Amino acid sequence: MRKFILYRFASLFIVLVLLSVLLFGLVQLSPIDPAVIALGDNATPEQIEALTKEWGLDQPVFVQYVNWATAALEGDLGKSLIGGDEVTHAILKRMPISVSLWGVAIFLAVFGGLGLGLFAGIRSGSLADRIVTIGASIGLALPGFWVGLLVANAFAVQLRWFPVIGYTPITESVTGWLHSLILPCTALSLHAIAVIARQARGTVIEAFDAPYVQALRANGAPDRVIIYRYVIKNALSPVLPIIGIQAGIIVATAVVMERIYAMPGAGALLIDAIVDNDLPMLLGGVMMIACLVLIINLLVDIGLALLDPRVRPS
Amino acid sequence: MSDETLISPATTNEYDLPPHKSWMRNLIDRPIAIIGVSLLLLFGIIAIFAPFFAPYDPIALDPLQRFKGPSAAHWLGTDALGRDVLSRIIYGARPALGAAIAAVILAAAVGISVGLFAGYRGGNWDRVVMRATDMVQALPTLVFIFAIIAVIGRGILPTTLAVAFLFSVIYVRITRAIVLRERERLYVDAARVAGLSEKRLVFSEILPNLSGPLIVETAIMLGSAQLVIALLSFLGLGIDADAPDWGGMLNDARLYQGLHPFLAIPPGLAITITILLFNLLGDSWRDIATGHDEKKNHRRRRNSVIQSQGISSTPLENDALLTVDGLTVDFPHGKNQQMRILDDVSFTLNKGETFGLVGESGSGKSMTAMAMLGLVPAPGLISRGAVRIDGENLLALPENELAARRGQDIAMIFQDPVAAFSAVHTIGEQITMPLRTHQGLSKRAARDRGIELLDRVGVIDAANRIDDYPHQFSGGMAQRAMIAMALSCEPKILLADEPTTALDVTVQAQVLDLLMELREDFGMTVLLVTHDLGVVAETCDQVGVMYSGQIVEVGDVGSVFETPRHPYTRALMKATPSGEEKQDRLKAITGRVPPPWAWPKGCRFHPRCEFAEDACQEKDIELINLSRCRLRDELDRTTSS
Repeated sequence: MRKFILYRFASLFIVLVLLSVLLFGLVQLSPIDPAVIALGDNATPEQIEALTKEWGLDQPVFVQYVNWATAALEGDLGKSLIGGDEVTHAILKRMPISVSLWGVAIFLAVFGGLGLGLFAGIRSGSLADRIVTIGASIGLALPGFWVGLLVANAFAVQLRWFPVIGYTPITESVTGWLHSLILPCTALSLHAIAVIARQARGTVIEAFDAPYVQALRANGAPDRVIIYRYVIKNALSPVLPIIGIQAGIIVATAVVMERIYAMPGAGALLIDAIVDNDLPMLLGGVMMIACLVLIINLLVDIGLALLDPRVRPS
Repeated sequence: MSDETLISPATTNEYDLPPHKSWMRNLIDRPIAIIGVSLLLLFGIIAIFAPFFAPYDPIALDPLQRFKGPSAAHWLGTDALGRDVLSRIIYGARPALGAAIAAVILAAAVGISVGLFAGYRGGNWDRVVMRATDMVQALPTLVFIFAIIAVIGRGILPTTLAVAFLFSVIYVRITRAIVLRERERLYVDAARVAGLSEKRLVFSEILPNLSGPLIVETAIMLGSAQLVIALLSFLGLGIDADAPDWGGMLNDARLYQGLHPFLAIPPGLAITITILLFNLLGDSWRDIATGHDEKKNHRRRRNSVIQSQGISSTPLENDALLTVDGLTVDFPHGKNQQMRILDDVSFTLNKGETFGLVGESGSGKSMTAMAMLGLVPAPGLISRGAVRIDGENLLALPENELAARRGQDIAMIFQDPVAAFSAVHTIGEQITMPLRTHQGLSKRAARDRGIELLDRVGVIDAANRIDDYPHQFSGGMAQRAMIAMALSCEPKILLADEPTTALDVTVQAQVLDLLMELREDFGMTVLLVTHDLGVVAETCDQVGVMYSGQIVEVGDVGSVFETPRHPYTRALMKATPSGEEKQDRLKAITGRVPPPWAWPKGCRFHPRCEFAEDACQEKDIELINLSRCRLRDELDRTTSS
């Protein structure tokens, strides 16, 4: 198992390197000249040339990449073109908000989605199953940003049950922290809950038809044992990769909730970087999200290996 | 050893699927799909002829009419600049549908071409393409779109291109997977042999098979593309703020949400309904393509009430342990129709004897064994019949009492032993399940007993292997473990459903010997379901021959094999190689077992019977005097002569 995890870590690193090459190359295609952006509209050609030299922008792309990558490995993602802040520092400063949003939303997605899906699958054909199935179809179509807006309006603006905007750090107050996260995270996880519930329901129903269920039943296993000991465990492994994908989508779409609830998270930083043509910030932000998503995928793989002995390395 | 292929040359034939409805017919049967398609078409028409439908100019400002609620003049009210919301929604359908459709068409064109190329070429080309798609899919789609928009700029065209690029990756993967699968298929080889050029092969043979899955994916992608485009506008990265567009309208609504909450409703509903319709279209198409009926999912897990009235309790013979009486199983077929799968099956198991149940695939032997345990797969139903052990009807017991009998009084082993175990649980946990459920043994005691049992059935190094998983067991070892599980509570009766069919030829005899040895040791009665007459001759005392859900001949092995009194039994025997008599050729039975919905009237075997007369198809034949043939006595004479 340890060997397997080490191996997966190594391949994670390789994917990360290739991804950084891809993204760095993509950014090079941009018609934007970072020196021009950094110096503003009134810069003289001499100033631009000097900065281009200083930043090594006149060197071959390959050299630029190696310079960027070696610095990045030491945790230095360069400086923002706007204001000159350290990219790493700017991102880390905003991480607590983003991590809170992601974490709580993923938690809701996993437990809400699995709970509803397993429940509906076990009782397939019942009224409860119909409700979950129809609810999931609607949940799939509801845009998270609209739901975010609607619940903000209903529960924060009109009913005043939750704060309209802003974020309370967990270090200040745990309940205040949760309180500020419930609305955005519910809206953020809704789509994932629907997807996971649908998938979980389907795999449970499929697991019920498996020959081993027939064999257990023919030798006297009661329904309770079949469902809770066997079917659920068998149904989980196909759902796990879906959970991984949905967690990635939550990380990517959290920016919407940051905007609606005016929370200064890392996603907002990314959007600002796009609007301001701040390429180092963009690259840093995307690489940071990439790291996180790859780690989620790694955890999913480890989880799969723990659940299913067939994918476990011997 | 006989080979089933001699009797039934192929399992894939036109009978395997129920009569297929055309997709048109399927669509008509799904009113929701019809409504979905019509609504989407309507939306498309409204978008195209927006100037005709919209009551106002969508960008005309009217400072006197700001933030007006819905009224006769403005059905959906006005926005912060006094613009008519309904008109903006109507015009907003243009970028919403237009950009999504354009992005998906582009994605499909690029993705399908690359996928066809990679899948058909294979080798290094395939590897490069697949690694590239891996890279792109390592990140959530939206993050990549952010990066692309940052590089090529904001606006509707870059947004569409970015979405098209990322969605093309999905097309590449699906297309390639289907091409690889179809390439292996026989008919492509056949077409190649027939001299079709490669180009024609791709277009004429592979593309039609692609269309089903791709249409499903396209419908769902249209929904997602529309969502992503609206989301980018909402974030101010997509379409220009002034142009009417649903995502941008929602962003406006966000700014005034405190005072004018209604502004968020129309654009949000518009987005949701369109996505819902696209998803619905995709789901309906998937159901149509796979012939899947949503109703089938709502299966009953437990057997519903079993009617045992009207079954005469046959007087028990002295040594009868179990009697099956008029067992009849129906499956729903089409609307309000029943299809009879098992028809009035009756036989008796005598204490300590082995009863062989033989017949071709599809004759109902396995169904009989499952029905004896009250375990007909849903939506089937045991509509009549009784299974009596010592005079007590198992099928009349409530489900929980019946469950308690399974494994204790009557246990079962299966054809594919590896599949009959859950892959994610240890062998030990599974084979000790009956001990823990029925006898309440502790985990430790059950494990100790499990090791003994595994050892008894010949699993070497049982103490270690008990913690292995099924995939670490060979087929033969898994069947031994399955036998250990079935015997753990020392049942009186063991149902063995083709226990050796899936095993290697060398292992078959060992497992069969083990079964017979255990039968002696445990004093068990065995029902052996098999298609192998050789096995029956070797191991069984009694034999029942099944055809099309009926027992056509029954009796003790010696007399049935010596003087078969049903033409089907004779045909089966002629199709079985035998070591003693020298046969020049085995004689396959012409034709196939018909499926339950095509069982002929009268004797069900008559279309394949060499002795058939007109009278054979007139009325159903009863099982009289151990044979279900009109000519039972004449047959008797022809064999003996």
